[in-house]
Amino acid sequence: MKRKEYPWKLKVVIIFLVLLPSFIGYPFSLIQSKHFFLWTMLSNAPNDGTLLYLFFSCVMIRLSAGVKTFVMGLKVAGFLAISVVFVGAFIAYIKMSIFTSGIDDFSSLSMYYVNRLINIMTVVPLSVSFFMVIPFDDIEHNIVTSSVGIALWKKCVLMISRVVNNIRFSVMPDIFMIMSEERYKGFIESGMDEENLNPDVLRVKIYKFLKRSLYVAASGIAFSLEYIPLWAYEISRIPNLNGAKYD
Amino acid sequence: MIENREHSGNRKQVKILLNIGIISAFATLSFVGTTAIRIPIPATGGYFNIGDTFVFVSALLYGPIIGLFVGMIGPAFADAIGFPQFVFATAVVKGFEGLVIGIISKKNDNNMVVFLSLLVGIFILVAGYFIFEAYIYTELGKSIQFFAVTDYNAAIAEILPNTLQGVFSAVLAFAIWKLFQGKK
Repeated sequence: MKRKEYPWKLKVVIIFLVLLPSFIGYPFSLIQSKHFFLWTMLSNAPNDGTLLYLFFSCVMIRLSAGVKTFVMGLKVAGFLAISVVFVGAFIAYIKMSIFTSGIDDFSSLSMYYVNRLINIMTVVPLSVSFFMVIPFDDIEHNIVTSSVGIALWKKCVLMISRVVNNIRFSVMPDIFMIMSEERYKGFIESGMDEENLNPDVLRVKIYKFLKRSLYVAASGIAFSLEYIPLWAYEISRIPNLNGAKYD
Repeated sequence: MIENREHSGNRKQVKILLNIGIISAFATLSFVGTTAIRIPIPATGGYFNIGDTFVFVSALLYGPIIGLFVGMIGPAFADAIGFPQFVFATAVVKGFEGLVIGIISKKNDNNMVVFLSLLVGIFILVAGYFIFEAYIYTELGKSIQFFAVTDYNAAIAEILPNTLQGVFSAVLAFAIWKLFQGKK
């Protein structure tokens, strides 16, 4: 039997309600104990409330938004955790190894990053799910095909949706393509050659690399702004709610 | 007569939609620049990013109001994913940063004026976060646990990374502004 699909507005409300404790703390902040056996030996360990909230948020995303959204949320959280938690912990450990030697410091630092990881794995999938359950394409289609005309605020939503989708699905892939065509990878690899380690050659290569990076950033801006005047004109011509047309 | 009024109404709508589009584009780019490139600062738990570049460029090219909204929306949304405690500080500091850069530069073509506006922008970035982390969040944290994420020492530790972030973003923004100069 096929599972019943909830309306997207209900999904948004559910995920928003699940997100609320991450801002206000309650009711999970009321659970202050550290009964979870792995943590009992360590100071600054996450309490049961934090772990319970992580579990609760995962279950709620899976039930309300579906497996695909849940997996996507976990992927984004994992990607962010690489730089924020793992690289952060690595840098902090090196810094601590040089300046301190106390085992307690290492323990509390570890727990700090474990807490941070739990925080990211809880909040990020929720935030991602919140945006993913909103069917932007359907909303855009409904606005455009409206027979009675649309209000100005809906035109603004339509504009925002078009710009964000353009950046997501067109500008970003284009930028990645430009970067691969510009042979950034080739530059890094060729930099390892003995001849290229010559300071003058390296200086020129770094200058070229920075110049290309600048052009890539500027291209990103230009591609993002390219169609905005056209869309503004096009959307403004959709009939207004009061029936006024601009033909 | 009616036709003229309709055309002026249309022009007004086009202008509103144009501004909304520009704000959305720069806010999204700023969001991407903030979330995709995150270099952590262990002392504070914060992170270094290039989202400011797009706030600076938007204010230089399109003026204070666009700069204000881009600064308030893009980086704040990025903070909402993973660092919700900093949303309030980021929205205020970066919004103010975009507003002031836009006011000083006034879409000016003078290099010195733009350079000065970016310097003020860096100062607002550094001083703004310091004030929030050292005083406002510390006070708020006494009554609301949610804001108890930083203190005076952490705020001091973040001055240097914030300055570096501001300088790097400003250099990049200046270069991008030079590329776009006269091509709007």
